[in-house]
Amino acid sequence: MNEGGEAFSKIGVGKSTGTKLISASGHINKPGVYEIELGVPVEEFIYSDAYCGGIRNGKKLKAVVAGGSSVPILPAELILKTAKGEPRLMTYESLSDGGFATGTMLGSGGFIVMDEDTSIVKNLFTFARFYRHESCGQCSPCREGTSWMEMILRNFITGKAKMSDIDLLWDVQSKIDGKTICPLGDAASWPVAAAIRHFRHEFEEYVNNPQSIKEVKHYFRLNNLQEA
Amino acid sequence: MAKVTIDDITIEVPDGTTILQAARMIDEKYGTHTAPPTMCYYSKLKTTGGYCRTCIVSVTQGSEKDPRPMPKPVASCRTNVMDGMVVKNNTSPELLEARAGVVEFLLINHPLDCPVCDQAGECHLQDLSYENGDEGSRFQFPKRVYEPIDIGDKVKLNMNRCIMCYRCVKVCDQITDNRVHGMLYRGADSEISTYIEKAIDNDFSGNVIDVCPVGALTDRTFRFKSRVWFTKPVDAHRNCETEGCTGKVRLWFKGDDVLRVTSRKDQWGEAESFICNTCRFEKKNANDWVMEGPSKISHHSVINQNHYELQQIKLGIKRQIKHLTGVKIDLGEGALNPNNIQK
Ligand code: SF4
Ligand code: SF4
Ligand code: FES
Repeated sequence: MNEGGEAFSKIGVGKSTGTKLISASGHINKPGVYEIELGVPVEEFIYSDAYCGGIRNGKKLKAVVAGGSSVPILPAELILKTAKGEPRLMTYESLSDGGFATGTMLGSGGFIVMDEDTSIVKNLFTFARFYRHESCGQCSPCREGTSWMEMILRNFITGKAKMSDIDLLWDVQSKIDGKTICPLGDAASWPVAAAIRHFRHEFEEYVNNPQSIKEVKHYFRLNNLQEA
Repeated sequence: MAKVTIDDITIEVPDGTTILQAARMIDEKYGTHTAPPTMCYYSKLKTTGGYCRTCIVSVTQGSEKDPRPMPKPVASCRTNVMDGMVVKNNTSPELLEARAGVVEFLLINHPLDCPVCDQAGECHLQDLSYENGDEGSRFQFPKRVYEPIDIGDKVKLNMNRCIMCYRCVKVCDQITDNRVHGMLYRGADSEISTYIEKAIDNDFSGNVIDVCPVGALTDRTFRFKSRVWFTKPVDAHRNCETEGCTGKVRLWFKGDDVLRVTSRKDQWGEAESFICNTCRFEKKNANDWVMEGPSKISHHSVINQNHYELQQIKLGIKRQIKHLTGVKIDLGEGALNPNNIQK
């Protein structure tokens, strides 16, 4: 910044110029806030000692939420490389490559890394709880929809869900997305959509085998979940 | 002036008109059925609208100058028209699907206790769900429940039925001199209340009953006296001394008795003018009034019988096609206009 706007805008790739503060959290060796030059490959950001320093305890990478809890979660193969097979970079364009089908967004830079033991469904429940609590309640789709999604997801993690609940959840999120006054409705529906899009098998596993839920280790502390 | 096309009907309206107002103008001019349903917008009150999302429409062409479509459905009550705008309401199956979603959201926590609800028969939520909703419910959780409370000796608040349209809040804010109630909490926990259940007590508080689209705020002096469709509406007036009251009302007779006094509602179900509590609650004697004659109820509702049959047939066809083939069918222009369906 001290070197002036021009020097600042020389950093980066394409339209993503300058630097950005990334708040990295999750199962990484060195969580923290990093100022990166836009254009760093995602793989380097996760594994390089200059940044996150790799996955904790030598585990494998499972998924990443690249830009804050509202952006679509991506499984390891899609976050490291785009659907076209090019390496993904930490830029607005590269992360959005593939739209919501196979891409995500850089968003606010809240970078959450999840290792192989993480339960996507439980994590999603945490997000849904957050959005239910954040909803201001002015408009109907968000007020009613966020609490409905939370209730359905609670059924999944307490082993009460039915197979049809996956489609129901998908439908509910699609009816919130784009129908609300402010983007909080969208933000609440995207993570749900992405989790079903990329990790539908996990939802199915929770329905078929409710016992498996207890075995899943869970990074986010939800001790009071059963009572909640 | 701006030219706007809604469901293939073009009309010229002054700048600054909302899409909703333009659609209502079309309907008033051509007797069509293009206006989207509204639950929170109220033309007589300022800053209403934008909350319920039932009036969403899709804008397929932004304007003459910038023909790009709008990426998301917009609330027609809060969006102004632009010259050359093209809007789809009943002619877009995706939009109707989205609106059915909004209706579902409004209903998931609604008790649907119409059989014991005084609003039944003139309830906008009944109309809305009948005309725009899907049948059946997919919500399998306990609903939110509240104890009904009395706000003063004239008004009953049943929060379970509230759809949080904010109309009553705006009434208290704008036409009574002392606002004592509003929305408490937030998100799915929001509720309408007077603080610590304080009584609403001022000359115009009774109007919250009229603006409430559902049975959340009802008249305690009329409570359980009769189903509205058994009463006969008659327009009447009196020389009212309360400042701001027009004295123009609608009396609801059963036999020779006046069971209830309300404001007059226009074809959109909105009060033509607001009336004071003296007219509403204390003049329940036919002799207090100068009769003008039977009211014309133009707002379609259960009161106007047979209306639902037509809607039902048409919606039934649409749903069945979708169900059998998985294909959403656009029944063509005007297909959703009850006037176009042959009996
Ligand atoms: S408010 Fe309307 S839909 Fe709700 S119970 Fe009363 S009549 Fe039925
Ligand atoms: S009580 Fe009635 S008018 Fe007030 S917000 Fe609820 S539904 Fe709307
Ligand atoms: S009437 Fe437009 S959002 Fe409620």
